[in-house]
Amino acid sequence: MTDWQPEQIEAFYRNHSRELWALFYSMCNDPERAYDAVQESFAKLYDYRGQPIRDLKAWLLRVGQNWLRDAARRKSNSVHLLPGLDDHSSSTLTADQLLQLKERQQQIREALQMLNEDDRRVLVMKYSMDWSSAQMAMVMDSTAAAVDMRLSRARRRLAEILTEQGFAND
Amino acid sequence: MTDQHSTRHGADNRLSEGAMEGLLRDFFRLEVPTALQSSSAVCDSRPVVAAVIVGNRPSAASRIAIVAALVTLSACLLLTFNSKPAEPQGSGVAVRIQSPAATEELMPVSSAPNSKATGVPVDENGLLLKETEEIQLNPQP
Repeated sequence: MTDWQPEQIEAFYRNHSRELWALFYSMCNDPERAYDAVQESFAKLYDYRGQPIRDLKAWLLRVGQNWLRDAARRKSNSVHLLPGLDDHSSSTLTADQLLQLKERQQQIREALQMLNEDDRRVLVMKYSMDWSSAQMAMVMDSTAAAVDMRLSRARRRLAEILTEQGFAND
Repeated sequence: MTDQHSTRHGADNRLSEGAMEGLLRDFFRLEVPTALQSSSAVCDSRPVVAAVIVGNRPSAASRIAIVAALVTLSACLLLTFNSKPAEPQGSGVAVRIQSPAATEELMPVSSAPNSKATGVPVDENGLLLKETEEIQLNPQP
């Protein structure tokens, strides 16, 4: 497919935007920035008038990566709004509980940042996309057994980092 | 040290595998933007393909109707082929007059009264077809 129509782009967005978010997130460790990267890459796709695109996912990844690099250079300070907490804003959680939840998310986020990129990527794919080891092996050009070992090692390393930081898993 | 604490932490006070699994699932449930949390946004070929297959699969009622139609059609075809007479040899139409166990010897029978077939013997005694018309089926004593 080289000539992408708007409805095809929309279908691709519905089916692949979360995966792209996960890949961008593993690069920047920032949920908001990763989401912005997804939006920016698709916005560029709508405006694109160049050579036909053969591998759309690879194209979107490259555009998103470039945008993330530029955003890091700009060193914009984004506010971590924790989109997943939107539903909780009007729930029974108190302001203190929401703040604690936010701090906990930030702590885990910073611990993830300390992992190497491959370890972080397998954790992101596994727990944000619920991918199997076989699926991850395809993306990473590896084997399912190697992915399982990396997952186990990444979890262990993350646990060590959180323990060193005094993380309380209550 | 409580039981709950011991299940969450290993001997070196590090979070256990099970605790890490739960922690990471909870973390990403909150981390993934709400706009991307719909099931359709999860990239997995299997659900996509499965959704296409399920969408194209006929309902149970229509499946039964299709099967019934096929069975009926098959039965009709069988009846048609079984009742279809053999191709004629020479003039006239041939019919099977002997039992199925016997060897099949087709007797030419023509609907035309003056055709040559009427001169053909219909049995081993040389009885002609036109003579059979004179045979009384219910002879009176």
